[in-house]
Amino acid sequence: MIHGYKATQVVSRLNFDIQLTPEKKLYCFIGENGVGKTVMLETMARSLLYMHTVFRTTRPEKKHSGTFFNEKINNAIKDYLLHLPASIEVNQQTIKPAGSGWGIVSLNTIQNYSVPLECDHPVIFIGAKERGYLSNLQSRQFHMLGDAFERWLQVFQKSYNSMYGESTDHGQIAEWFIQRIAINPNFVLDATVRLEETITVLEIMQELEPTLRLLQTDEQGNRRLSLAYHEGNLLFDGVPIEKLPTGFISIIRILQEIISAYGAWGGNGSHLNKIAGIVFIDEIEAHLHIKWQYKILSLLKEFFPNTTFYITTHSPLILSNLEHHEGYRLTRSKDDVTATPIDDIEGYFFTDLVNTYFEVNPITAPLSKQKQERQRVARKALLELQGTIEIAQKECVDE
Amino acid sequence: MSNTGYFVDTNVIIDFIKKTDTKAVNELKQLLMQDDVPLAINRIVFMEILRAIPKSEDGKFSSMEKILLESFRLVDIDHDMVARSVELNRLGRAQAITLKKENECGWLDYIHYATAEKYGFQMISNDKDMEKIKELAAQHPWLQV
Repeated sequence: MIHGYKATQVVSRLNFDIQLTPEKKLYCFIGENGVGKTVMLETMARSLLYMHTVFRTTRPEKKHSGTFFNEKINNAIKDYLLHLPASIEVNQQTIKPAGSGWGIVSLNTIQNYSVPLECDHPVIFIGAKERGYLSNLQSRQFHMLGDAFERWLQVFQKSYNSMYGESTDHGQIAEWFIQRIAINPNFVLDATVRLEETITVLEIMQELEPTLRLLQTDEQGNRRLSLAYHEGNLLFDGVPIEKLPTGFISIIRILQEIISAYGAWGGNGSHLNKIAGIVFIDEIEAHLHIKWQYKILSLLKEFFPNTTFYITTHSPLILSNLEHHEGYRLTRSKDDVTATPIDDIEGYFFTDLVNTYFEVNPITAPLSKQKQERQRVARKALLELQGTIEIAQKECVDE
Repeated sequence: MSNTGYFVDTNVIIDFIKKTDTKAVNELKQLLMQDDVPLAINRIVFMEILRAIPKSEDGKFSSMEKILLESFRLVDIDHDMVARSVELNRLGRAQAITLKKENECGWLDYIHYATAEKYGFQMISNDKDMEKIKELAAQHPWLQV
């Protein structure tokens, strides 16, 4: 996993020198707008694709090697371009040397570049754009569940597009659920495995919000999903999926994208959450209710114990749940961006986080005109109240 | 640190309400008449004042609460203030400096002092112990990052 990342002349000519404490499962980045948080996540993720075994020849010791050379996959994405920094260093290893003279590579030519450090883990990128919205199938026919290569292609394209700031739902999430709940286990050999993917998403959602009734178990131990397909639409507990609250949709998208990707990268049914993947999430708090912001990180870490998360946030609540050296503050000096670890964040009070890391301080901020007027009236009332109310002498200190 | 306003200690507000004539009370009175001067209390001062109002004054209690909240800026006690007040209290004991009723609630003066110090507020207090804390603090300046 990445614990040291240096990249020069990234988009907007930024240079990143990001040093992280190794062996953490979560790295969370904060920083002012424009510091380069999203750009950093996107560039890191694209660098991992450049280092990936998927695009290199098949070797038995590398689980994902050679996937790219499947005909269906190759035809679909061979000409996709990867925009890279001028130089890349990961964990003190030079991945792309300075002066290499190029910044764009097609996926088809990645195999020509040897790198000292390869990535052999699923890489998933979940962008912030339009995360609170999705569309239903709107009566169009859904496609039958594709084979393993088609499923991999779909999740790869989704992550790839997100690394370029594009949102590509177009009913894909609704279709993903329907494909899995509508299959007949008598005909489809791995139907149970695919259904488990759906159940895993619902389980985490229910853990996050116990009042949801998405998954119920009867006395015999049979599980019942509160999902239904009706007249071309997917219903969640009777509500069309696109009509759900944006916070709910945002969570569905995060969980569905991780689980669907793990399923497509070769994960197995009920053990999907145990996969050692790398997940990037931009602005994790987008659309989330405060209560969910408070719980989301611990839940993700608990449910995906082998996943390494790289996330960005503007939320002090998200920050308040981090552990020592899971949080990093990005700062920019001219074009150079560095990360400073946040020490012992567990000892901080919420006010401290807001004051220190988001530089919001209501005590020193000027009062609004309305508040100034209320203050004037209150102070006048206090002056008039003098001597009219009984009050005990302070018992301890004075006199 | 620049002086951005005033921190008002509990004893001054209580004396003010009782209409006791002291230098600090007169200073507070003057400041209350100026609309643009930031006056701050922390949650402990807020609590100390309200708990001193007897049940017989229930009719005026809620308006008092509102008046305090709108007249003063209510400061939260944060990690920096706790660390600083603990530091000063320990330094004080090491130098045999003790406050009045320190083991009851006298120690709270360290918190009040640290609150004022953090924001650069000038302290308004009738309490002589504040001078002792001020001297201690001058000997051991707070190195805020």
